[in-house]
Amino acid sequence: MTNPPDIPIHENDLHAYVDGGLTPERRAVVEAYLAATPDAARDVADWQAQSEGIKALIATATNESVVRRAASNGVRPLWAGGAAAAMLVVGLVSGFFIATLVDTEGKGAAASLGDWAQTNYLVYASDVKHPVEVGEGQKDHLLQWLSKRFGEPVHAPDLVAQGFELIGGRLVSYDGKPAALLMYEDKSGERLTLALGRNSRNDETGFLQTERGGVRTLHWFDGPIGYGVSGRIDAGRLKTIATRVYEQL
Amino acid sequence: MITFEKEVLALMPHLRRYARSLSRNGAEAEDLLQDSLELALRGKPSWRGIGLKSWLTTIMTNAFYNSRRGEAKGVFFVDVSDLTLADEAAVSDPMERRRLVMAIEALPADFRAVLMLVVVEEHSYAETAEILSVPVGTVMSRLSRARRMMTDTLRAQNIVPLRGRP
Repeated sequence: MTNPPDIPIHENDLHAYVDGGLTPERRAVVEAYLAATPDAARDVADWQAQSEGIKALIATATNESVVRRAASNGVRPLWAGGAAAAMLVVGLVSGFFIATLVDTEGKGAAASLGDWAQTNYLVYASDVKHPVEVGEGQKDHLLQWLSKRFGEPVHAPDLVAQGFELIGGRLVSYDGKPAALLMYEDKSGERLTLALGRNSRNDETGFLQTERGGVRTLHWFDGPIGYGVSGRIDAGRLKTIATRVYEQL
Repeated sequence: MITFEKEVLALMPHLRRYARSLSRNGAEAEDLLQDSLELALRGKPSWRGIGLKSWLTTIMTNAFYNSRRGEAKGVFFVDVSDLTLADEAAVSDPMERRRLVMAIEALPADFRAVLMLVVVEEHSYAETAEILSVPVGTVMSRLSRARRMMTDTLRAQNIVPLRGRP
């Protein structure tokens, strides 16, 4: 880019700024413009964050042990002869891209999953005396029973590091089918619920957040199961907890 | 022959990375890489002896477009098994990673190619235009639309924002 420093800023300059394609002089002009133009500065910050994220995603995949995977999976030779040529076909890639079904129907279902998880929190977590059907003392029995009724293995994520202990669970209903609700409590008596419902579409969504009457829910679909974590806690803490749940399930 | 092979070999990290950046999962990236290498071997006589990286990148981009042709827009495979393979990702927050991947997945093929050539491969806009055989203005408009679509997807209401965003 050899733009002289005195011509007006165009959106192309902002992209070139993000991509490192400006001369030092032009760069200084763009920086002054960004300092005075919050909307443009926000766009640029978004694009920079996207670029960093994309680079990190791709770098991770590329750094994986390709040779090890190739050795264990067997490699289809592309052409024969010479160690160098053989290496050329060690192009086995271990992917990590989550392909996703993103459509409006999915969003609708995701929204109702969130409502459902939230409603269960409101109904059951507020019941101080009998919040759960089977208490934590019978944890193994609880999980076996819920798994059997739910039709998928139900595991209780460990949230002790986040200050929450499992106090029990109960059978609920989602979309006309048995569903599971696990309840956690912290030392102050604050409760958290993890709701698991069948996902008949067997697809995936991102993590969606809703908030109603002070109750926050993060929910997502992951294959055959939809999850919802609800509590009267701030968004950052809820995100941390949902991440732990996601990692463990 | 030896020189050609050696030079292709030297470009393998780039080719593998570009294949990944275009693909939805590991199997698709592998297919794209293999297809591109086969096309490159077959097309070797048409290589002018210079600009091998651009030439191979163009081949891979065209192979990618061809593989996507005829697919219904916005319909993607579900490949949950791939999810856990990048546990030590630099984007270590699984939610963040997942949202980012979803935003990339939602991009049309030609927008995605421009974004990956510029961001991952760090090609200049002029190089990108040459690789894709389109004018620089088209590169700029695709880049702009790709980034704005990404922003819209990532900012979509009631979705947790990316770390470090205001």
